[in-house]
Amino acid sequence: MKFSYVMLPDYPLQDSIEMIKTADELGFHAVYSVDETWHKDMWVLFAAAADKTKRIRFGPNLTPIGLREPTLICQALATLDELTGGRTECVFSIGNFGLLHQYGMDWSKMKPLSRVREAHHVMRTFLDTGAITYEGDFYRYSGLFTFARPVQEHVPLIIGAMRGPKSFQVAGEISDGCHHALSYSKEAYQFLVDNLKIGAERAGRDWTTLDIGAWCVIACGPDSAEAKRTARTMVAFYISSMPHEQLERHGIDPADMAPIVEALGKGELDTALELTSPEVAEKLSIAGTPEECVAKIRDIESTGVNHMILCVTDPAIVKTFTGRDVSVPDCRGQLRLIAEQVMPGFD
Amino acid sequence: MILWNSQVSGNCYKVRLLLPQLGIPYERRELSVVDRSNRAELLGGKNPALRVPTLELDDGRCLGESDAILWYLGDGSRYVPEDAFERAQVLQWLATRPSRPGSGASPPSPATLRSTPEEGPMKFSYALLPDHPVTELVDSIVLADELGFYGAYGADETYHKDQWLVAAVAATRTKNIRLSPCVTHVILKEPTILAHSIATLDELSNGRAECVFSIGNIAMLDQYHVDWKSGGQIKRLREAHHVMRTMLDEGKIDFEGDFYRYTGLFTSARPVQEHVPLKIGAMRGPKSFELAGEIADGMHQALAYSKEAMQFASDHVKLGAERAGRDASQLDLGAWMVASISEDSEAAKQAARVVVAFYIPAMPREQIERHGIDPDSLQPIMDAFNLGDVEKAIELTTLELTEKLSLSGSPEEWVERIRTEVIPSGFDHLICAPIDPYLVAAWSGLEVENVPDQQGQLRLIHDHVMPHFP
Repeated sequence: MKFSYVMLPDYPLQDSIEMIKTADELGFHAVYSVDETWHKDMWVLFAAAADKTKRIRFGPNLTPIGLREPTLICQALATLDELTGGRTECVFSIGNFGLLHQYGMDWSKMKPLSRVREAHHVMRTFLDTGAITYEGDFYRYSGLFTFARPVQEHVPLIIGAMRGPKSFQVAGEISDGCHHALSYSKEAYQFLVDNLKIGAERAGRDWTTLDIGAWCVIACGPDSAEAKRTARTMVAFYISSMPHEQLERHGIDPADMAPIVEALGKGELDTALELTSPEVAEKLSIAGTPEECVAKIRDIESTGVNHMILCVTDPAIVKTFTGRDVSVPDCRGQLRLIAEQVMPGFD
Repeated sequence: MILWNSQVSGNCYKVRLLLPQLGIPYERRELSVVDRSNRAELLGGKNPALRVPTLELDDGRCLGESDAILWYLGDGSRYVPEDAFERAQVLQWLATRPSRPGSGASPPSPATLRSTPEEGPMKFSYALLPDHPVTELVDSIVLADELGFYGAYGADETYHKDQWLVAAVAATRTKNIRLSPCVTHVILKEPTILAHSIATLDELSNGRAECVFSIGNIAMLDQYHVDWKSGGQIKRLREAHHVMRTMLDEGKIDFEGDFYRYTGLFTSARPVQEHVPLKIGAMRGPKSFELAGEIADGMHQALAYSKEAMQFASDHVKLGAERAGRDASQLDLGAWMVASISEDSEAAKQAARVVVAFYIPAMPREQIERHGIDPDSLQPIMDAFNLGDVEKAIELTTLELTEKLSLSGSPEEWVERIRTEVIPSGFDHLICAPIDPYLVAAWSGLEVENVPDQQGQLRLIHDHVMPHFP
């Protein structure tokens, strides 16, 4: 099992750089960042952090091809790969539906699967050869080339997906893996892995070589109740971006969640947080003491997931999003707890 | 050493040119060439002709006549050779070279004075075509910062490494230099995403970010099958400016435009500067120039080298500013140039030639015409590129063409060019993209000798060009 840290880059940049250094020192596999307009620019941040690290890998998780041109993502990736001496990877999808909506884009009319498939071809070609001529339904290029060349022979391209099952199958078929966000139940991950296998088998690939990642919100602290309370304040925000099918895979009736999404839409934060019951929060996060976190990750691991991507929820993030105070260790403290008391329980 | 000087005198200019070349410190005393009433008082006993330039040595001895001063200063240096014939050639050049305002017994006529440009303050910036190893690019920006360059402007085109990442690393290692894309582009890149990148860079550099944007290199847009010819691009630029201005100033946006639409979009990426400069990059004009004058913090024109082309741009920027009731003198008028500098003038031109060839397809016809070049005469070069015959395209790009479409040559040629083409056209910011052997080899596989690398050229510009435009 690999452990990675995924950040929401809303902290002062110097603080974010310190967190990345800490994750590097503690032996995390990768530091990822969401690549969304809502936050600071993770590419600028990662470039500034690159030479302050030794082993940790870097990448967006995920970057939206609905808003960013695939060849331009490759240009940034290749430059970051050079800066890190070959330590980048890229998780991409069409983008966060909530974000696309703010751009007036209706993802359901954007043929997301075909688009992702084409984008993968474009990015694979541009990264591997530094040039592309292509005539697709969504992307067209004539003699485009770049001097931005990666150090790695093969920069991993991983598809980010939530609803499935077709996106999981496509990931198994063509990409280096699949990172699945915001699921916490065995059922949800079994569904992911089963469909990845279908896609991999279709293409004659060995599914066990794929990077199968669980992108999870975590709040880890010595005080179990406080850690759970911390996670709960953030869960409401994530419910709104989860497809109905995914909620159902957690034994949650989407209709029950509608009032939470509605309250958030109206900007009624307190109501939304109140409506998010402790039971729902428990189902939609990894929260509690290190032992409790280990138990939850064991469940996920049993399905074939081989990579935990942990979005650490700390007092600063909670304050930014909700204005509330919680008392769990800060980001670096939690990273340390995870490295010292969660990671050793796994191979 | 004191130089009795007049800023508008060509003869004084020659002396001011040589002094820094020889590294001789001196003090300047200004005299008017029009109001000569105080001449006797100031120059009496120093120069019987009461003329500038007059050089006053530390021991009190004085010398008049620019050629005599040049000869005196140059003696013992490479400017006055030892070989008798070469020395005579210097005298020959002094006697016959063109444009000698003020030669002969009479002072320069008022007409000559008016046509002689006044040297004004000029900002020098480093333009990156970021193809070198990233660490070298960062080191070059660090040097440019130390040498007092105003900004480091990275070309944000798919062809190169990602200038945003290079600027990010440089931000952590520099103190004063400003950091910006020049240009970035708003068809392939989303303006709100650009704004959040700029804001992040501004935080990282503690308030040194700016942004020059356009619709993008048209040759590159063609490679993406983007239809930029269908019109509306000025409207697009105007909208993009509004979007970026709003996101940078307020951190959020609701907008319903023809090209961009947002509902409740916000960002945590906030700049340090109260007002991050947004400038428009343009080539053809005139509407883009006028738009810049009307709404932006400046205009950077790419690939213009003639006074005609630059004058056309600055006139239209002023027109746009006046129309909007803005003070045009507050705007940053920058000239982005393919540049190459070397003591070996021809070598510099050979280096620039390769990149000039590559940029010809990116130049609109009107822009080419403003350099006294018939666009049709360049068609064979375009055809060669279309057939993938880079070697032929470069061969067809003559040195004469290169001279017109780049700032390349010796430091002396640079100074002359800036003095005669750039300054009179109203531009006050030179953004030089040094073409060095690495770029030439990367773009064409060719080798050039006697041309310094990026850092060497930055030093030459600093040592031998910048002192002329304090």
